[in-house]
Amino acid sequence: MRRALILLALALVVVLALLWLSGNMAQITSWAMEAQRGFQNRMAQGLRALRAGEPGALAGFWALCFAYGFVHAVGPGHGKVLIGAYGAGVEVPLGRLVGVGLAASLAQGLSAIALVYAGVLVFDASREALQLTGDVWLERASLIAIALIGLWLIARAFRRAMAQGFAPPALATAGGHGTCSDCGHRHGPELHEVQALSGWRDTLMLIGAIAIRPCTGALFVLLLTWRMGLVWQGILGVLVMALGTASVTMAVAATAVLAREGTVGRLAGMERARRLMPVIEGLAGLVIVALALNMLKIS
Amino acid sequence: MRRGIAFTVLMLMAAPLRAHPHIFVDVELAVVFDDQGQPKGIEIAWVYDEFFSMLLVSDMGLDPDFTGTVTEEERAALDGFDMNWIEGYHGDTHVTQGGEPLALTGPVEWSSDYFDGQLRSRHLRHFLDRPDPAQEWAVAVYDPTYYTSYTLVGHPQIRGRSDCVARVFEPDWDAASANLEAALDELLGAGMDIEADFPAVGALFSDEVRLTCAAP
Repeated sequence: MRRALILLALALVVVLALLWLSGNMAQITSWAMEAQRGFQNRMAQGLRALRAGEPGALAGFWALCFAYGFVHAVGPGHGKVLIGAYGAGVEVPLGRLVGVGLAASLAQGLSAIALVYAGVLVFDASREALQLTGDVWLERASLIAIALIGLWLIARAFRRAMAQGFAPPALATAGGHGTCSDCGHRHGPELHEVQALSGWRDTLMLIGAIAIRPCTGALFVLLLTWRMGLVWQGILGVLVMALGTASVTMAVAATAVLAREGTVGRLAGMERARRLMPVIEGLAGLVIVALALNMLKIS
Repeated sequence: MRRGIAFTVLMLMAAPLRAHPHIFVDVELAVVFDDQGQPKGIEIAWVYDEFFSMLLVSDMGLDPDFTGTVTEEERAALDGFDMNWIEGYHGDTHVTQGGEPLALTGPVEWSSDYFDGQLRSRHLRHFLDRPDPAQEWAVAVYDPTYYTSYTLVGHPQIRGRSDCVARVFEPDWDAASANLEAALDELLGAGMDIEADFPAVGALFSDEVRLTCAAP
């Protein structure tokens, strides 16, 4: 069963890679955009029905929220890229990363709720001010957090490689800048110790990096439901939306972990298999840093 | 939408690569010629998606019962809601001839409405640089930052001349994304400032109307 899952995950990765290489990723993107456009209209209709107190409107609104979250996550977004790259690079158990996917999405919903209600109730902020906060500063903070995670991975890969007495030149250079002072472990780099120590920190950083940037759609829904006097319906709606997002991030997490296990499992017979782990991890870190810096520069 | 500092910042800073626009707008175009058959201007109609419309109308304190329509008085309050263009915003309508951009005035006439849950506006812009009607020229509506996604609906109208043809070209999605990747790589490689020199993604992904008129 697990073997079948691994093969399936690998196949999925290959298909995605082929789609990407052949440029067909654009079609997925355009599909997600088209779907989002449809949801944007239906969301307004759903809210209007809810406000008018039509029967079944609440269930319909929540269903829309779920679908909206799902479609949003299928489009390009950093959350699943981060989780995917992490799962592909780091030896993390399947269950835990899937749990992280769920927790991160829920935390993202909660941060939207906190942002809107802190703004609306405490500071009485206008939507424009809230949107400014949500879109610009949180996004930047989030991207910086992601870049830090990438650096962290590189640094850890470097330490591991050192521990194994095997430092690939490319990684040695990259890690040279990356071995930061704020995440250094002064004690010996015993593998299991490093892993155990950084486990919960990695996890929290991952969740935090995603949660810190709430999605604009969630902010809009919260503001509109607040103005309609439908506070708890809106809050629950955003949490349901987070579950929709989670269904994608969880799938990506599972795919990444299973695909990595498959790759490593195949190489297990090889003598240097273990030594490849830091390389993969370091490369994943580089990819994350590059992505984050790229997005940061553009934003 | 075009008011307030938040939008200024968003226009400048919204990540173009985030590629999931938050505002969807349907566009209708009409090209207007003067009595001498010279290109005079372009009339642009925008219809905003219902979600964004609802939010904006509610921001303006209109339609407090969320009916999806406005009263006569509220309609007056809507007037020009998206016509007060902030500095750095050029209206998202792009005219080119032979690859050279041609300048348009700001909106000279406009109207606004809200019904069926959608905000609507229509505005006319004149040419500052007139295209040579003997050569092919092109009109496209796009937001380079991709925060707003414009979709051309219906076939562009041509007013004031009967010997002109407008053809609509859809974007080549695959080529567009490949181009974007290449352009970004090049920018990054050259150490350039992506924000300032960002390639016109919107142009790559947008519909284009090409106009040709019979030689005089």
